[in-house]
Amino acid sequence: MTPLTQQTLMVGALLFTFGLMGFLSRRNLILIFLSVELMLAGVATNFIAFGSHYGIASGQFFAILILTVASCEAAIALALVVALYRRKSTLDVELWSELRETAPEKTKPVAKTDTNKEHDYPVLTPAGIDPLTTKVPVTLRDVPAPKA
Amino acid sequence: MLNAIWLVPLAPLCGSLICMALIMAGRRKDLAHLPAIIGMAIAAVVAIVTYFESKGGEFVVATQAYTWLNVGAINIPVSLRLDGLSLTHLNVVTFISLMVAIYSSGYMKGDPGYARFFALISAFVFCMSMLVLVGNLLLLYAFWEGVGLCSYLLIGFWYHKPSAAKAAMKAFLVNRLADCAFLAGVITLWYGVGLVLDDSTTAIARLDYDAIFTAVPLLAQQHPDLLGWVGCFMLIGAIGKSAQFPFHVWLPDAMEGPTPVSALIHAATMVTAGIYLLARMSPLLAEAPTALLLAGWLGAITAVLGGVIALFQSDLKRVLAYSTISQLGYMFLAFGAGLGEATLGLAVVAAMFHLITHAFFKAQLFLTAGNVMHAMGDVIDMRQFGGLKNVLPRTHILFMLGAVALVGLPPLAGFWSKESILGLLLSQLNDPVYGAVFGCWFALGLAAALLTAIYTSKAYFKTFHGKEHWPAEAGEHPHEASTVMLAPLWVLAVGTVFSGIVIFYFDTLAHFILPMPFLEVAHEHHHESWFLVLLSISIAVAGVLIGRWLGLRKSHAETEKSPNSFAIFAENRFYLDELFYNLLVAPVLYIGSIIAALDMFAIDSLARYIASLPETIGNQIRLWQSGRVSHYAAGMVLGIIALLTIVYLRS
Amino acid sequence: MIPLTLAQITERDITIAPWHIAVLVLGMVGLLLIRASFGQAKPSRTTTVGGFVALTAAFIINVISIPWGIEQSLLVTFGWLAVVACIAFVSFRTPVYAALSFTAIVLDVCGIYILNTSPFLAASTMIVYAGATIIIFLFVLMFAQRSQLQNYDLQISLPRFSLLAGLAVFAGLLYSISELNLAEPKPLTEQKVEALGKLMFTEYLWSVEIAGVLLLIAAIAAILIAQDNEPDRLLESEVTKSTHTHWDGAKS
Repeated sequence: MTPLTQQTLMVGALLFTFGLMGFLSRRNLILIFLSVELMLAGVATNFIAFGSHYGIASGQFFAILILTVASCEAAIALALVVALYRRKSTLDVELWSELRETAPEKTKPVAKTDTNKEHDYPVLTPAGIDPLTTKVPVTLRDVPAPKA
Repeated sequence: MLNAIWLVPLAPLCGSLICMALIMAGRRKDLAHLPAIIGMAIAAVVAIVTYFESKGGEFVVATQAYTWLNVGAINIPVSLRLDGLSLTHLNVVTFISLMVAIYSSGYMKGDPGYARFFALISAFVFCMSMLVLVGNLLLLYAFWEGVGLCSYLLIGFWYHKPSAAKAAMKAFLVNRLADCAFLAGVITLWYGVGLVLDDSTTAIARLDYDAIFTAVPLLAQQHPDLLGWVGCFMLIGAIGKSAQFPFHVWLPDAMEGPTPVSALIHAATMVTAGIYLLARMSPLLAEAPTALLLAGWLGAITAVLGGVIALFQSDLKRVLAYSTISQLGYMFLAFGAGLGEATLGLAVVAAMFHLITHAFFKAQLFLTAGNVMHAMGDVIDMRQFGGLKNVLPRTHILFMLGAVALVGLPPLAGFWSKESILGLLLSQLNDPVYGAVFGCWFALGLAAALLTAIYTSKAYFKTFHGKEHWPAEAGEHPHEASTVMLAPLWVLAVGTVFSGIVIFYFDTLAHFILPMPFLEVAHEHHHESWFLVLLSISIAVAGVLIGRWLGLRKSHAETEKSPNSFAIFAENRFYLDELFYNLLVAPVLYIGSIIAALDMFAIDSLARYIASLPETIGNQIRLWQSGRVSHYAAGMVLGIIALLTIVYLRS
Repeated sequence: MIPLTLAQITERDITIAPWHIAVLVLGMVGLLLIRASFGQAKPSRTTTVGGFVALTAAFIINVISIPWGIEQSLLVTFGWLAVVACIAFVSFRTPVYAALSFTAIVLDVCGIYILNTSPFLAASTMIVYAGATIIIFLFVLMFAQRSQLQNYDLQISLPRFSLLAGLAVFAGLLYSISELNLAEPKPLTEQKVEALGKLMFTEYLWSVEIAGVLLLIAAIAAILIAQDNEPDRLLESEVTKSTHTHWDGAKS
């Protein structure tokens, strides 16, 4: 690899890294977007380096595309920033945190023991009783005592 | 006609299935008695015809239906084995169950569970007839459990009565305990037969009776101890099913079931399964004298114990239940009498004789007690009614016939069968090895006969003689039972009266059972000793007189004389139930409660903790969703770094 | 990745692994950032001096390690100016200064583009990026900016994490650069701009058209999003007095 290509690649890597660091550490909306633009610039540099190493123009072309997309993105991003600024009159990104999860409230623990004192076991309809004509006993206490 | 023997178990089974279909369809359940009775009638007819066809009973036929299991060393075919013993017992079973079914179509009329009753009775008859007919010991065990199940379902027929439910559980569990020993015996026998017989060439089923009886002599030579163990295990199983001491505790409580159930299952058929088992295994028992000795002792003790407790009971059905226990003790005593030289065949004949006569008169007694109960408005406490002989004349006659047979007065049936047992004992008093034991048993047998006479006549006189009174539930005037309930009783009465003489004089049973294969035939049938006849008649008459005095005197409630402590002790069944409960049941329940507490506190806590883990973890993870852009950006970058790391590590 | 020894430096027999420079550069920047996050307006003197020393060392190493020539020296110049401008971009607290340093970055990067035989792109980038995009950013900054420094400009969101993430990413990138095995370089066969033009209008025509459509959509979208639905709203400065804290902690 020629020193030119290597140095250019390094510069591209540096640009990307600084863009990343700025993106993570900034609180100003616009400067966050600006760091993103820096990352894109680093990527474009990489393309240029490879393109010129192999003597083809595709690298330049892709850098043009990156440029185009970066511009579109900058336009829309700044429109968004303006709209946001109108709401809160500040460029702080920390203030926009409504879409979040709060800590759950303490729920009462489920009862550990069975507090049902009387177990009403389900009763099968006794054999020989037609539920449609006879009142079906609900609990065992309702069943009448048999004769003989 | 012999191949039609398959109809005997199948007809009641079909009847049972039709009854179940009626229940599930929910229609015309009042006709449920028809399939049951028809099924049992077919079974009875086929059984009787087969019996008459097999003159002399010198045949053994085994028809095989299919093979249940044929896996490796286990080969279990389902085949029915017809020989004298099984045919005799089968006839008893089918005939008595037919009579009881006809009776119960009148007795259970109006009960909500009418159809269920007949389904269960038919299923029971199926299981019992298969038990008697099947030719393989393991299948006998299977149907043994089957009759136990039907008994449980029938004792707990009125399942919402807590006492009935508990009684059913008790019966099942006590039987289960004994069946564990039985199963141990079956497995040991399977192992033993495998030791001496070579399965691979003949591919016989190891637990078929033929195989067992072929193996027994070989085992007696090579492993005599094993046969002793097997015999004792089988004896314990028989004791459980036939309610001997100490497994007798379930039978009195089983009176919670309907009276026909008590008559059929707990007097005539199921409790005789134990006797049948011992009779069937008699070639094996011949080589296991320990088992026979144990049988004799337990039988003797139970006969006396049952009699003593019966004397102090005031519930008519309980009296009959303890009487059943006592009479079954006689049958076990008969087996004990087979200890002498080559007398086991005669012992088996005597036991089966008593089984047949007992089935007749005990079923009759139970069913007439059912008549009394029906007339008295379901009150069966003898202290609450009396002097019913003019109110219920026909029931009175029938009960009297049954009672005389039970007491053992000639010429009714009980006399002849008891004679054969006691005569067998008497004739061996000078046996060199067991003479003293036989003497002891003879004395106990006579004491039991005396007690039988006393309590039977006490119950009879208390119920039918004396001052006429009946409880308020009986209404204005107690009515006699309907025809459909009386007709089978008259038929049974014929059996009660004549079966003893017929079997004795025509020696049918001996000709039928003795030539059973593998059973040695003893010397000629010995003649009666007149001494014994006079002794037993006098004991019976004395007992009747004492019982009459006891039954007609005023009860303790009227004389305000406090009963002495022995009476209280006996009335409470010698507190055996409480002893068993405290010794066996309560520790198990205690351990169960400990384990339940362990389950509730330890294992449930663990399960709940594990169930709460997703919630806890989720609650932690949801806090990552903070809504702050910098956090989200950090998340993205972390993801990128992780991805890069993975890619680098892979390349 | 050969560790650097003094002998290698004096004998000009160096194959500098890029990570040497990176560590130095970034370490310095990180120190600056960390110090600044503790609420002080200016970083402490030690970190600043240390940072400068590290920068200089890196510069020297870089200069020594490559053969001298016009092209190489221009490359070094533009590259290092870009690095300094990056550091400034990340470190400046005033937004306008950061935007202007971004412009400086772009200018230096365009120089590198020229050295890499991409003159058209150098010109395009300067015009579009520095001439249009940055201007938009500056306009919005002016529109939304207050007269004094706000605390959200002074504070750093994730000081340590951003440093570590940056280091990790940079290390990864440099690792991959050092492991690259590129084929033999080929010189450009035809005129540079002509080559680009040929590509754009034959092979990549579709992409060009779509990029045009994208720009149109972005323009319309930006107009729509930035529409003011409440034009009669009172400006905040007329409603309340500002209560934001200043960088020296005094309230207005």
